[in-house]
Amino acid sequence: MKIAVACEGTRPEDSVSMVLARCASFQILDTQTDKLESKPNTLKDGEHGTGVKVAQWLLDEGVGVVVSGKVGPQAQKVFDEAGMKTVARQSGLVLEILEELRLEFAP
Amino acid sequence: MILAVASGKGGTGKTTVATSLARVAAGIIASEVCLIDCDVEGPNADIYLKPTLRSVRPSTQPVPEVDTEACNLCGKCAEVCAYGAISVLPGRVLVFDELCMGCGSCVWQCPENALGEKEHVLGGLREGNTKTLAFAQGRLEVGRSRATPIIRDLKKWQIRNDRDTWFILDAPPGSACATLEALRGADYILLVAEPTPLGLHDLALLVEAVREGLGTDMGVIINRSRGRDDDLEDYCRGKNLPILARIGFSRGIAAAGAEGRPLDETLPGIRQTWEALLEDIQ
Repeated sequence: MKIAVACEGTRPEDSVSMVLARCASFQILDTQTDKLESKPNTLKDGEHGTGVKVAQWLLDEGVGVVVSGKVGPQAQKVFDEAGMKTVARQSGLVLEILEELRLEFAP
Repeated sequence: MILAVASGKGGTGKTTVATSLARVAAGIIASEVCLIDCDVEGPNADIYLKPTLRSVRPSTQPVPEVDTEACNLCGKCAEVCAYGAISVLPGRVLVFDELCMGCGSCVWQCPENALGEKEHVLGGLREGNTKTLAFAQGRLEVGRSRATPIIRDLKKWQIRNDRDTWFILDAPPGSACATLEALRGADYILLVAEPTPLGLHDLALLVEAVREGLGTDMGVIINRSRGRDDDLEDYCRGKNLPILARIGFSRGIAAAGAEGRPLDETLPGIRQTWEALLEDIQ
């Protein structure tokens, strides 16, 4: 299972992002291999439909759980239809959130 | 002749000016005058003119429709969509009608020919008459967000290439897509501005947008004038914008407007001003 946390900065030591589509990066933990990857959000400056594009990208990356402060209605629809889980976290460091969620979503 | 009435800021008196101009123009300047209410997010020129109104047809835009038999979920459509309007999930394709701009790229580029198009309703078009005027209006449906295609549709439907008819367009406020769509193709633009810091600020935005995007000639009507409107006048002088008329600041005019009475009824003297202005534009 891959858990992606929307991140305000570029490192797992940074805070969770209040927004999903316009966050700076995604910190993605694969709970099977315990590998943590940092991927910049290259779609964040898009003009149209950024929520849907980011949701599609997360889906294509094989992410099963998405964490951010808030998820827009269209991205939420993609996650729901694709069977992906969303977790709301308005504050906290990405590392701490991942520590907590890795137990919940352990393989 | 296509004459558009516009303003950067909302509530400066566009509809008041457009409707009274149309009433004065009918019979004097042109044998046929048609007022087109392009403010599709809040059409209200009919309140002043009280025309008969009938719905003519919906205003629609094509959106993709998936043939689930032919689709193999390759993902090409989501990849080529510039608007994020399509998402390809493991088992199905999800189309977001409201995000789609109707460009057709997905349909064109689908390798399996699995995408067709259906019409998505954005709003409706209405038309009618008063004793002296033809009238048309576009209306955005509640829950829809795209005014611009309705304005394009409304104008294409109503405006004929006919030198004897005057089309007076009541544009939506602002200086973005919907406003420019209403102003596109106009022979002249009347800018209604009020002498306040906000009025001047938003006027300047619109003037810049028109000069850069359309290049149409413009003139200014100052509404709620206090006699000397220094900042606004300085701006107009600096930008070479003629000040064509002033409507004074008066509680009586505001009260009559709030009751839906046309300006030329409340302020009969304006008829002469409008006649002269229309002749000048002609």
